[in-house]
Amino acid sequence: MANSPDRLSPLDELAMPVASEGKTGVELSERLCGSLIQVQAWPKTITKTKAAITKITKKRAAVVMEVGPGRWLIDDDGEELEEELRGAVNSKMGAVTGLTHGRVVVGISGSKATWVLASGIALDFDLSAFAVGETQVSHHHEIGVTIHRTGVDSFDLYVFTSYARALWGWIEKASREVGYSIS
Amino acid sequence: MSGFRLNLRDGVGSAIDGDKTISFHFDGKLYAGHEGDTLASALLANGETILARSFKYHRPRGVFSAGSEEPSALVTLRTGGRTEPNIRATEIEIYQGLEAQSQNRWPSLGFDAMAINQLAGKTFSAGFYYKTFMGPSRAGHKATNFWFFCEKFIRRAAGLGNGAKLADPDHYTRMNSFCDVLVIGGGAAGLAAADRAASTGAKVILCDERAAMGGSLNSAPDIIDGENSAEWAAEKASELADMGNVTVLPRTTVQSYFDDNTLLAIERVADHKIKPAENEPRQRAWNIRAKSVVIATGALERPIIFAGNDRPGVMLADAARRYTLEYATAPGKAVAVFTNNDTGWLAARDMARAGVIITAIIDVRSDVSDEIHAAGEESRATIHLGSAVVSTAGMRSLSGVKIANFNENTGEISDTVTKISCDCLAVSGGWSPAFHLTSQQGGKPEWDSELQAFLPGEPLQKWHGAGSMAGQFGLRKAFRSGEEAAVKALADAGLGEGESGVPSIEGDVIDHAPAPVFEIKSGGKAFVDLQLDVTADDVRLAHREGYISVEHLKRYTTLGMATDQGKTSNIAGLAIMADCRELTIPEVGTTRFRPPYTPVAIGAIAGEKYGHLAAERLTPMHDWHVEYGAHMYGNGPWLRPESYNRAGENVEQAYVREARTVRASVGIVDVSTLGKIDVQGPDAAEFLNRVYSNGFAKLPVGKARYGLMLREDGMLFDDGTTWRLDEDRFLMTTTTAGAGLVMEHLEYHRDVVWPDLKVALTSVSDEWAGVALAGPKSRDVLKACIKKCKVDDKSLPFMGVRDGEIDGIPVKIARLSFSGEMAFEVFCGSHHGLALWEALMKAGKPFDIAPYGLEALSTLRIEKGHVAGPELNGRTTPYDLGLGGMVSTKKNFIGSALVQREAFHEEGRLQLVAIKSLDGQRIQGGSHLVKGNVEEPGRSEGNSSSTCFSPELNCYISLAMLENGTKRHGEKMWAANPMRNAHVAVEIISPHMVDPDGGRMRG
Amino acid sequence: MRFTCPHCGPRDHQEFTYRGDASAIRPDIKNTSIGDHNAYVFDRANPDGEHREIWNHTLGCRTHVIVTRNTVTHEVTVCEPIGPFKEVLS
Repeated sequence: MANSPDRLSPLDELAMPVASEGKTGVELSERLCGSLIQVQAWPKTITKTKAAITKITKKRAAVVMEVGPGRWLIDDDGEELEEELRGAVNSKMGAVTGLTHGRVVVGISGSKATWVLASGIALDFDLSAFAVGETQVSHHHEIGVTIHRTGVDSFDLYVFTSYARALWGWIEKASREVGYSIS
Repeated sequence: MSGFRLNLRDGVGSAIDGDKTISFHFDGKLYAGHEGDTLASALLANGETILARSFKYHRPRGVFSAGSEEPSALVTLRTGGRTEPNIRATEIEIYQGLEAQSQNRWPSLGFDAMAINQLAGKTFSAGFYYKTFMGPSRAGHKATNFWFFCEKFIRRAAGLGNGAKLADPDHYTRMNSFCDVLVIGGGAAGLAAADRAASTGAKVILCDERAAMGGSLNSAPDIIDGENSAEWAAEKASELADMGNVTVLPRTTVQSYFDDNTLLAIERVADHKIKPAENEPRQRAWNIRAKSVVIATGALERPIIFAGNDRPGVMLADAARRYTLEYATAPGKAVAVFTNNDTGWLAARDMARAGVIITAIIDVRSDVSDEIHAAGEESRATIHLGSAVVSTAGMRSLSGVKIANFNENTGEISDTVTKISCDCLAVSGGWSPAFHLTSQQGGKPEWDSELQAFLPGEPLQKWHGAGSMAGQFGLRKAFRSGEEAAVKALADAGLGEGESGVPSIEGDVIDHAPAPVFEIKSGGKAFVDLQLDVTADDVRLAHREGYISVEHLKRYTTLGMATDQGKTSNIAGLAIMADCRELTIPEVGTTRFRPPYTPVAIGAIAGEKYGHLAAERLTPMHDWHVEYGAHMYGNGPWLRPESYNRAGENVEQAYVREARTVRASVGIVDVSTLGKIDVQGPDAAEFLNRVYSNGFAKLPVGKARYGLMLREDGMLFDDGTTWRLDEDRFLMTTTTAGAGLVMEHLEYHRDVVWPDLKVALTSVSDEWAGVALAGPKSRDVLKACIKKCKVDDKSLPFMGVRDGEIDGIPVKIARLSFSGEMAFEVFCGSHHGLALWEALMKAGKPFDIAPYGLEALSTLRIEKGHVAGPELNGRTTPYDLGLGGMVSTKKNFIGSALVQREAFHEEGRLQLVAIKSLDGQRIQGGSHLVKGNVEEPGRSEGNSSSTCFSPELNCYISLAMLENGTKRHGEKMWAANPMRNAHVAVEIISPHMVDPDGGRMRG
Repeated sequence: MRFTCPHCGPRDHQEFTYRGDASAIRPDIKNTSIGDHNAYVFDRANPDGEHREIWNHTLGCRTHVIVTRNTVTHEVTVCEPIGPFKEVLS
């Protein structure tokens, strides 16, 4: 893996840094995960699997998102996460699936972030319904998207690679009303 | 002419800013108005009376109301791509440079040639279309043919405005919103409800369709907390807007009340501007999920029906009052009031106080209270009790009315009439609560005989009525009921009661109950539905002809079916029908209101979704395809290359060249769109064995197998190859189109049917990019670039799966063939897709590798007899497609029982064959296979499915489904497509047209 | 309509895909009776009123849920989990 060529994001040329003219309601960004791995536990192995995940992730800055019953999506900068998880979670405990290439992460932050997101996502962004650090799986228009709230006014959207441009287009369009920059 | 601008002063002109003058055009003529004016108020102030021509009879029509209920004053707004027809002049706020045109007139509003239709009034009565154009023939022509002859004339004569034919340059957007309490209507009740709810910290949304909150407060003479009521409302609204937990949305109409307290509101963000500011949407559709709703939508004044009641100058009394007080616009130089209730008198008094001359008050009642009489005297009008308007006079607009004595108990009118001069007649026939939203969600309205009106009835969802919408008329009751509704709504949201803030009110205590008089029967055209020109006699005609139920009445006469949904006409229509049937109005019943409350621009519904409508899915190699001349083609949500046309090539020439290259050397195609599902777990093999019709349990690791999936009813569902990566780990591929459905199908069976199986299913369609290399040289290309894996026949046999590396990119290679040639599918992580493609192109250069698109892909598989979407059409079994050998008899699987149904094995089923054109003609898709020539084709015995030009056979071919087809190879038939004028001589042949033994792909 | 996903909470019904009548129970995998399978695939009560039906939260966590819905009023009274994680989600 170490020698593999650079990965190309479908947003590579779209998400070029742009400073806003005038007001900046939101700041948009784009990144690829070093690793994005899904672990699915079996109904009776949830606790055990979760413990195995925690053991691996606690030593790094990985983000562990619960995306379904006994199902986690783990985002980490390093490239070796899949191998480590596969070593810790055998098929008696659950299933490990690499989704590193399957998603692109669109970041959105700023005072108008929830306003921009709410134009396409039918979720209640009130902190009482969607707390910082929580993850919700939903959709932006018809594009499935996993939404991780990284702060009061900041979110990471994990979108399917093939839909990344369509999502980016919609988010960018919705951002125009409030002003935006791309970092 | 009649209307004129009054002097602005305290309490007169609350909606407009007299210091700001705005110029605009109506029918090309320049006018001036003030900021805050509606188009209607500005035109009235300029003395204009006729704003429109009516739908059927082209009668001149004026302004009838002052709000969204307007049936008459419809105009076409703006020009070019921003043109919008049928806009209510009473709603649109004027702006500098506004351009509006009148509708349904030719050549002009003042003189309309089509007004001749009035003389043919009988012809155009209720049921005209049904009687004239359906049923028995006329003069030897079928009635429907007569319709086709007449249609273009009728369409020109009857109708409303014309839509724009240019693209709308503006954009529309949406907003998803959640709240504790949604308050609909910003009048007294709504402001009280919002205020009370907000005091608890609840998340509140307050919407009102007008530019300013306040509702009737904006024209009320009352003093609220020591202030002018309009000023009090404005202050209260801005106080609410400043609270962090309240969203105040003016110019926002709640249009639809859906299930589970989900409501749609349309905010007209920029309709009051010449064009939206940069990046500003024209309208925003709010999808609001509310824990509870307070509906404070007020009540709509309704008219009394009498002969000549559509003459411009006749308007609703409260509208006349509002033009006076809110817009400082006198509705006429001499205004008469015709009423059956007290509010008409108070309107007269309020207008008189503002400087409008009231000539007469005509009340059907023989007696009124002393206070009301005093209000009439203050207006200095002559008072006519026990009287009614029996006709109107005027050239185009009103110049006077005739009144007669009226017996309110019997409805009888005297023969002797009195003439009254007036250029405006303000009519009040009582008030109908605007419960449209509660009716939309299924609430059954209940009749209130005191108020002579329907009330909303029992809620079916979490809403609470307040103010006049709930029958709580008058400001005192409005404030109180608003707060009460808020307390109930807060309880729905699990919140406390909050603090009361009912203000002090100095003003009239008004009795809104009218006398039960709906129509004055004096002969002559009396209009019930002004927008669709439905008269009182049309309602009676419907009754005589047996259309007595309200639903039939509505459809037969079109009463209430116009863009205003009969807001001001329904009750009168019901009352006339009730009178005919000698029933009460509640016994006759009402129709259910349907969303939306007012017409909604299609753009507001579409929001951001226009053009392709659905989001496009792109493969990692998309940009390369475009750069290399591919014509991209929509394939479900995906965009895929159709063919890579070289200079001078058309699509057919390009795909034939591409397919030839594959057969001769090597081609490369992007198959990233294939559905891919990661199937893992100790029971993965067992699970696959149950979902595929052929065996999967014994598939060795490192091997792929082509599998068929059936539906439970035995029909073919999908196909694809599944690769065993490990003992308990598989990579399933599906068709591009079937990916989502297969995933749901698998999940359903895993979760609902066999929850004990330990299987994890994950879509990895986006994780893997896929490239297929096909052709006799494909192995050579791989050999030139592959590392960490051998690809010779022994190391990578047919259907083998191996890991390798190309140009540093980790890949999975499976030796599979869709084309019948030696072929490989190479998968890699999506973000490496383009790099892999380019590496393979480079490695293939010495072999003249050519990229190929969907058309060539399809051509190659048709030649090979492989089935795809057109054959897997939901009506075919494996046996029909010659795949019976893949239906295991050794195991049970989804569909195994029902695929053995007798009907699937009977003689005469359509079976897969191929056909080739014998006369050089192209075979059209969907052609019928017939035995006869073009003169006598005979019965259809089958149809063509997937067609192409075959470079291998050098003729047009097609896969086809034919009765008993497998036994009919060699037979000559015709492929008939009369819609495209095609009748092609064909021969039935085996579908396996290329390398039937499979030597090439296994070699 | 709004359904309550046992994992994600209340969501618009547009996030869910209808998967059929919850009362239709598939015959055992060993059962080969055409009659039993025919009943499973085709026989439906189609009630006027309360109906238990299976929906997949396809645009969310993809968990299945049994929704009790009134076919006349669209009132949703119960949303309960079904599937391998039924107990975990109950």
